[in-house]
Order: sequence, then C-alpha cells, then structure tokens
Amino acid sequence: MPEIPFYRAIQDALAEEMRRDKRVYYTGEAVQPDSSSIYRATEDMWKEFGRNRIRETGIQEAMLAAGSAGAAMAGMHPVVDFMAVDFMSAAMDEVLVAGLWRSGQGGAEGFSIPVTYMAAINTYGGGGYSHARSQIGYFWHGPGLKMALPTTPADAKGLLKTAIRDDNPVVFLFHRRFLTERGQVPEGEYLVPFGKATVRREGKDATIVGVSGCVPMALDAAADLEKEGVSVEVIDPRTLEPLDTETIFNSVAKTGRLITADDDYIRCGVGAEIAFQVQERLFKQLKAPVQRVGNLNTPIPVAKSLMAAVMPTKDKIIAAVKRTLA
Amino acid sequence: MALAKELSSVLSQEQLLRIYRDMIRTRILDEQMVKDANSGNMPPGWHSGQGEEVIVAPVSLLRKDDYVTYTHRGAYVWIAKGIAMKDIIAEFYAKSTGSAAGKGGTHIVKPTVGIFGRYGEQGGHFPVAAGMAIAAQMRGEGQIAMMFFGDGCGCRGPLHEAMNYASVWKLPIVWICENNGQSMSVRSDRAWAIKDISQIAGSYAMPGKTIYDGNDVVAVAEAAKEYIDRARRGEGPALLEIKTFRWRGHNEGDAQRYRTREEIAAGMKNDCIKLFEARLMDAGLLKSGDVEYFMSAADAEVAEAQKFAEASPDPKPEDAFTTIYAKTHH
Repeated sequence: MPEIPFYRAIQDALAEEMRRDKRVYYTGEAVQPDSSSIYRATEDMWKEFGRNRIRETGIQEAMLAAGSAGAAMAGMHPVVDFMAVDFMSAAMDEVLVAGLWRSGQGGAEGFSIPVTYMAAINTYGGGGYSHARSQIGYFWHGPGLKMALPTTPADAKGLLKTAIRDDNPVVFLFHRRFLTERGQVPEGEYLVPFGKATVRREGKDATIVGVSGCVPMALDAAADLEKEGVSVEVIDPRTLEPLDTETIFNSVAKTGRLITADDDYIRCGVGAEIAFQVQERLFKQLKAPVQRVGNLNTPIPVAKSLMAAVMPTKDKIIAAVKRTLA
Repeated sequence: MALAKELSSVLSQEQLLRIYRDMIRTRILDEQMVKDANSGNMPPGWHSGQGEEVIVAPVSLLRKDDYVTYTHRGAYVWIAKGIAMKDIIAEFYAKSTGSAAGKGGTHIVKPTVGIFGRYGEQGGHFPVAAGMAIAAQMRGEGQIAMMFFGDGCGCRGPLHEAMNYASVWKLPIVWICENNGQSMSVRSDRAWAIKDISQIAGSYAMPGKTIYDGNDVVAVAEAAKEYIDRARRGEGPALLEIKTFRWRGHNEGDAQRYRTREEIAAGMKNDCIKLFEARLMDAGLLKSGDVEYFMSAADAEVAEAQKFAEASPDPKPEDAFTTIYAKTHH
C-alpha cells in the first residue's frame, strides 16, 4: 500500500471527486497551483479542471462561506478552503447559518446544501490568538453542521471524499502538524463513513478520547504510561457530528476512566460535551471523575514557553490519566 | 405577442397585464395579512410591502428556473415568481402545510421556481445570491440570479464581498436595491454617505442606474429587462436602484415614531398600482370592469388560501428533528 503525505491525500480526494462529479468545485484564496498553500491544487489538476472549477478568490470569507452555500442550494458541491479556522470564523455566522438553513426553510425532500468547509487548526504555530485557534466547539455547538477531523492521511482521504458526497454542510478540520506526515492510504475508491470512531490503541485501565492534534499526543502518552504498567486505550472519534458514542461508551464501560484531550478552549469545549454524555450513561461505572485536557481559557500566546503552559501537551495528558488512578 | 407600443417598446401586452394582475394579488394578500398580524394570530408577524408592489415587475420578467433571493419584505417576489397563496398563508399561520412546513415564517421557499428561502440576518444574502449565480454560470443553461436588497441591509459588509466577486467572475446576476429611504427607523440619509445607492456600481466595474420615480412601473420593468438580458448574454452583473415609499411601518406593531402622519399621507398619494392602471386604461389594455375582475379574483384566491391554512394542522413536535439533514443519495 503506498505511503503518502496527508496533504497529498487531500489533493487526491479532491481530484477524484472532481473527476467523478462535475458539480464539485474547489474554491478559496490559496487553491491555485501558484499559491502558498501546501494542499493547493496540483498542476495536473489545474490542467484537467481549469479556472472554472478551481476558483481562486480574494480575502472574502463571507462570500466563500455563504456564496458556496448558495451555490450548493442551487445544485453544486463546493469544497471551500479557508486555510485557517481563524479565517473561517470571520464568516462565523455564515457557517453556522449554513447548518440552520435547511430545517429553517422546511427541509423538504430534495432541498440540500452539500458544501464542505475545510480549514487547518492551530494553523500557524507562534501565530497567536488569531492564527492558531482550534474553535472546534463553536461549530459543534449549533445544529446542522457535520464535523470531520481526520488525523491520518488515510482518514483525510476517506473522510474528505465522504464529506464531498454528503448532501449536507460539513466542517472538515485538521491539525496543521499532520499535513506533511506520511501514512498508508489505500488506492482507488476509499471512503471512511461518518460516525465510526477508531480505537487507535487498545488498553484496559483508562480511556483517552483524543480529537485531532491530541490523538498522536495521546498515543505518545499511552506509550510512556505503558512503561509504568498503565494500560491506556486511545479512541479517535474521527467525526464529532455524527459522534460514535457506542465505541466510546463500550471503552469507558471497560476501563471506568475517561480523559478527553483536544486543542480547543476547555470551557464549553469538546471534552466537556463528551464528558457529559459519558457520565450521563456510565456514571455508576466511572471509577474517577472525568478529566479533560485542552487549551486553557486564555488567548493562544506566541512564545513557546507560554504555549507550553497554555496548550495541551503529552505530560498534561499523562498527569490527567494519573489523576484518574489516584 | 403584440408590443404595447404606446406604453413600451420592449414589453408585450401580456407581460404588462401579468405584472398588473400580480401587483393586485400582492396588494390584496398584503391587506389581509396586515389584518391577521394585528389580530395576533400570526407568529412571524407581517412586514407590509404596500406601496412597493412595483417590485413585481422585475421578477415577472424572469424565467421559471432563474434564482431570486429576497428580504423580509418579500411578498411581491413570492407572488410574481409563482408561489401559491396557500403556501404563503399557511406558512405565516405556522402550519405544517406552509411552504417551509411551518418552520420558516418569512422564509418562504420553493426550489422549483428558484427560491431557496432567505438569510435572516439582513444583508447575509448578498453572497448567497452570488453563489446561485455561480451555479448558473457553471451549469451554462442560461439561468440568471436576481437579488433584492433594501437601503437597510445595503450597509453591510457582505455586499462588498459579493458584488466584487460577481464582477470579477462576470456572474449572471442582477442586483436590485429597493430604496424606500428607511432602514426600519433609520433614514437612509443618516445611514449612507452617498445619496443614490446606484453610485456604488462603478466601484464594482458594473453598470448602475437609479429609477427616481419608483411608482413608474413601465420604467422599472424596462430598466430591469435591459439588465436581465445583459446578464443572460453573459455580460455580467448590473445594479438597479428603485426609489420607493413604504406605506406602513417596518412591520405590524411598529409605532413609526420616526416619521409624521403628514409624510406618510403624502407618500401614499402616489399609488404605483393606480398609476399603472390609469396608463393601461389609456392604452386600451384594461377596460372598466377588468379592475373589478382582477380584484375579486384576488379576493377569492386569498379567501380560499386562508380557509386552507386555517384547516391545516400544526407541525408535530417530532417534526423539529426530521429536517435538519438531507438524505445523501450516492
């Protein structure tokens, strides 16, 4: 099986879907082959699809978000690259409204908004509070937006293909650290369904549900803890909406301990929601309070020393696991 | 299809009479909805368009498969684009038989005539309209998009993003500003740095025009036709501003502290329907008796739609969850 970088998996998924379905087009500031983006359209894609389907724009997030939703209502399948989630949030209302629109307009059979909104999170390390946010919870909070957060090249390809074919708005986020990492990706048609978590590592003493950038961190933490005789299970939900609660509940029922780990602010965050759902179902099976690791409630700083204090780290995850064992 | 030569060199008798008929239907619907809103049995309330029925004219010149986005004051768009009275009234009564299954209120929808609802936060629909024009351009079947906005929401940022993009890509879209001088209670001379909104057209490298007498239905229709044909030929966007006058408050219940009764009375003296009617009669296209015919037909249509709406069921609680996501067909 070939091993390719994450950004290449995104490009392959895009090219395949654009070839398969004329309604699919790719739009954003950095989509052309001459752009600065790492996952811009390739020269081959440009030759094959041209300007009509690789639609570069200026800095106009409201147009990217709501314009693509309008094009989707009228029958197209746009894939929108916002580059950084901070920029996507310049059009926060437009993205949230894309999720509300179908039902607010009656949601009749045949009415759909098949748009995919893509962005990197924690995009510019050292970029500070407006270039390094994760904002995952903001999108998960409102109805109507599906959410996919791949952590491997194979999942990037499979989830992006599924997102593009889905007849609903999908927010597709990935940690910037993943972009140049390589992984095995099946050739040909490879789709990953929404709502199916992966158990990245099996264990019996504690469950870590990691999201996006915190998945590799959780795996590193688990490897360290193993040396101390602690066996940790790591789950990667891959999609938050829909969320594979069955896999999470089965794991925590087995281990009795849950630690959540994600890059978003902890208040009203991803971990808070997962924790609540688990304790609601498995309160009696929990051996310790749920722990959450995430960004502290402060704007993301620039200096490395401050970032280490504020953002998730392997050591913070290890400490959280140990708190459940105390 | 004979041209109505005395009235217009580009519009046919059939087109003009259709505009007239739909203006009457819109007025009569509006009068009934005002009554219902004030009796308190209409959850979304009503934003009356009385006095601005001229907006029927540009919409009526569109193809069935052209796209239109509209604002809260949208009855003339819905009627002229061919949405049934019963779909509208049942929606305003929040019944499950309404155009948006009782979930949209002012968000009237009918995809088969190119209407996909509206953006609740005013001015959010500039990019949505441009997006529909993207689809029209990519599909290449001659569709265009038409976008209505008022002097109110024209102050918002998304206008810039959408108009700029549409001009860069020469999208097939006609932007129409219905300038009634009031952004709810804010007069447009307090909200805008310029006097005529068509002035911004040059900033987006597109033609623009202001029709100062928005009660002149023929002038508005001819101007709209020119820009519609231009867009359909692939020559890109254009901006048409129509100065109008809003007879009633922003919505029913608006105390209208911001203008005097004298000002309102003066504005209501010019009724775009009556003025158009007089010209149609002079040209021999309407005879006495025709007016009563159109009005009583509209009365009957509204009454029948109301009966349908009143007899319709409320949405069921479980319906709140069934329409969030579309089924994917791949």
